Amino acid sequence: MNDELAKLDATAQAEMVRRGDAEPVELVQAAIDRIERLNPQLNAVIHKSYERALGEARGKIPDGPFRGVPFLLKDLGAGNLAGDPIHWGTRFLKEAGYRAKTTSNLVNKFRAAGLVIVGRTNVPELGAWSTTEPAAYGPTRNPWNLAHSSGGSSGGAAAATAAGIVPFAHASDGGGSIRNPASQCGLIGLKPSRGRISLGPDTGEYWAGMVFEFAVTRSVRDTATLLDCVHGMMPGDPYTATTPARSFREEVGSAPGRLRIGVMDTFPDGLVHADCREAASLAGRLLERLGHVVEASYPQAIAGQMENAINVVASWQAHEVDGLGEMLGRRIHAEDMDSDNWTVTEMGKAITARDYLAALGTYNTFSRGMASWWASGFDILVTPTITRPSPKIGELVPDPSKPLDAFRRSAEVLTLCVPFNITGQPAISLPLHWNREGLPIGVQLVAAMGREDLLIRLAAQLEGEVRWSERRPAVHA
Amino acid sequence: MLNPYIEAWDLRELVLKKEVRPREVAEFFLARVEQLNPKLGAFITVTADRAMADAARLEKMDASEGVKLPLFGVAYSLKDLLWTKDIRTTFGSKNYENWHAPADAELAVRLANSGGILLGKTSTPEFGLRPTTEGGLCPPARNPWNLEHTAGGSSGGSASAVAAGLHPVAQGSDGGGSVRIPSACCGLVGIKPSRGRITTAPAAGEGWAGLSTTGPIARTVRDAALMLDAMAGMMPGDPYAARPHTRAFVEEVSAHPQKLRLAFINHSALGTVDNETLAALEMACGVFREMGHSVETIAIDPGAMLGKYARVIVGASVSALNIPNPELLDPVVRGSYEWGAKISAADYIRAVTGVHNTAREIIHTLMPYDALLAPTLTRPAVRIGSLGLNPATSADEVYGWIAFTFPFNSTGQPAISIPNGFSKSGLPLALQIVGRPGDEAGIIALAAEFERARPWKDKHPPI
Repeated sequence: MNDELAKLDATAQAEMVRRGDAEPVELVQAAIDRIERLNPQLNAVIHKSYERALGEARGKIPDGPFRGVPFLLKDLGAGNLAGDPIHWGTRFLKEAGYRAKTTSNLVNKFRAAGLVIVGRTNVPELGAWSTTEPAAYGPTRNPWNLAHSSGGSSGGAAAATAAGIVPFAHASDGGGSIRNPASQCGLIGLKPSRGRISLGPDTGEYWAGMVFEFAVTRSVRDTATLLDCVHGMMPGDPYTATTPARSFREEVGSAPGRLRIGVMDTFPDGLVHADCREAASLAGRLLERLGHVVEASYPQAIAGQMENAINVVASWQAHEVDGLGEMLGRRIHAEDMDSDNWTVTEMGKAITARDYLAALGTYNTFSRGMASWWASGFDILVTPTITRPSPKIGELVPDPSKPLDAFRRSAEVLTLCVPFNITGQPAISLPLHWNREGLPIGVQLVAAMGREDLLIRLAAQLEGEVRWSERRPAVHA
Repeated sequence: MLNPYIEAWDLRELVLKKEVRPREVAEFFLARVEQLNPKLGAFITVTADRAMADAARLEKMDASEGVKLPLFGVAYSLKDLLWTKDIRTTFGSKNYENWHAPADAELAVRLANSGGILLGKTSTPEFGLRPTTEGGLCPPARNPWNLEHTAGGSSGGSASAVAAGLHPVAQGSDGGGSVRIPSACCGLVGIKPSRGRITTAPAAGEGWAGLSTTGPIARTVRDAALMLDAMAGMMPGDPYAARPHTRAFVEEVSAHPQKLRLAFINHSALGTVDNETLAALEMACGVFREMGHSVETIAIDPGAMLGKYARVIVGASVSALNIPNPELLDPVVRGSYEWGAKISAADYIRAVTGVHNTAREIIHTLMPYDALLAPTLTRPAVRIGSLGLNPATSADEVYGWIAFTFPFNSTGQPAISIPNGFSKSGLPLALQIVGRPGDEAGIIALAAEFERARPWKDKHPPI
């Protein structure tokens, strides 16, 4: 029973409950068993809330589309659930035994959808790395190859979902943190449009609008239905995305029409690994075979914003670390953090508001330049999601003798993700390719602002061709 | 001979029916500007050639084309904070006396394409940083109801011009009240739309962390709605957009809102509302009740909750301006520029987060209500040369006057200022209606209903 359930997506698991073929408590218990069995190898789940989950599963669960389906929250961002630990991958919050005081709008919506939260997933310190290897909780390993990273910052979420522990999991993306682990673990990772999902009530925006909440999934229908459950403006949000014409679930299986698609085919020297280039060009050929108009074209400005983004993130980190210190009633010191994160924090403290606003001014010029490519008639941009196959565990760990060396190499992985955190456009990573070593290589599709509908239609079309859910990692339930 | 106080709506009809030619409109209002602007200080740059060229272009169009254009044959102005390429853009600053923007603002293009006749660019205090139009490059914008008093700011030139019948509608901008303040001072209608309603392309993604927006100034609610229709809309590359509205704003003028639940505030720790303003507000509440709406006084002071954050955001934004020669700055602006330069990115982010979180609290409090009634200003138009001139005390004096306008820049809610009678000394009083986020439609409908009950459009200033 257990292994069979693990192969089902969330929609299928919920369907079993609806038909009376399974009780929510069975689904939840099965997920707990899988955590106990697989987590020692993966280290994906760092906090377990089994008793509460079983209690909820035996009681009255909200009658949403995912009633009774087990779920995991990320230990960062809008993953806060009042009374549960939330440590942002830091030693100082872990050692303080910190627990959330509020529940995010997103977590409330997850629960209203009928999801049962069984635990919390690992993240890198402050979510600032493209690999999930925090000193506080240790590395999360990739189910496809335990010597490799699961990506980051939603690395715990991706490893747990890829291994079948849960059918999907909460994730968030400030510079690729949904798409990158999705790419590394063979999952679907949609970063929605700016304003699609509320970051409230604790914040209006994060990282100057670069942070997006959502999930990693294994099926496009799960992506669509979950997005239907959690999108929409909440009172007091500073802005919201345009309302979709119909539900996202209705886009799954709808003909995408003949789309004009640009494939990014040239890259700055040495930036993108051959496996990732190959993944994108194979995707281009597949899309052409499906009848789309595919051209070698992409917005030329795409890769030029990393330094600005690092300055913006550093500024926010200085603010965050101050705030976390206040929360704990003590100052945060160098020895509280990994050496690169501390260097970034110090860098951030030295940035003036004037320089920060200059960086945001550059974001404006950049976003308008990018948008003009779509406005010129393209529907979709195809790129490799990340610049290289999954790194080995330990490859991107900071070395105090080489300040920011690992941090910059970690950021470079996300060169093709970050642009869309800046513009706010929706972007999705799809598991379309595996390299010779058997590691998944994701392909990123990007639509114009507000056009998740198009991404979901196209993703469903590709899912019908590639049938990625039939591939299973080495470590799987 | 045109009536200088003709509504934009009626003027457009006359031009469509060919009863008045676009050329006559341009000539008539240019003559008004020439005659009255020296007394008012409303325009910093008059664009007579451009107005005649706009008119000539419109003359070649037939009514079937014109009917599609919301401002067909309507004279208007742009505030001199808006980028224009071929007309100088001074920002009201001696540092930019002869500067030309690298591109036209999308909004300027949009208004040009709406069939309007551009008369020129209107006076603003330097970089729009005062609630009165004085200091910097532009002459003080004077109030047509009493020339010794300010037209308000920062869109003071725009309001002075509309009130004096130099044109029926103007484009203004509002980062802390700068559309509503001069509208209140001059007996006009001014709308600060929802955050993200009007693009700031290409100059910026957002102004003052999303606090600032452009907005229309007019003499009637219908004209303000018409102008907003011409201005509204976003551009690709904008960081976000307001919720789309379902029909033209001008159509909301004939909607009849039914039994609304209205909240009312009239107290702020930042400044005392004067007795005449208070009495007029009480009367206005009575008018709304007679219409069948309920009005409840609530205890919330958004200004006091938000002041400290707004100051940091504005200060930092001033420090980010490119100022070749700080010596030339208005002393108040210079104080802000130097103070702002000391703000760290982390403190700025803290202020933006403070704005967002406090705004959420305010919007939660207002959730049971369809709209909020409030004073626009704590007292009517002040005398020129009397408010906020000393850099040391300027901020407190200013926030005391605008305590009820700037909070809604932080919340991003739409707000409209409408006339609400006169003080004993003959200065206009005003009332503000603040809507739910994205609900310009609701406040336009309610303001129009109030205007029908208490019409003001036939009262004109002595000038």
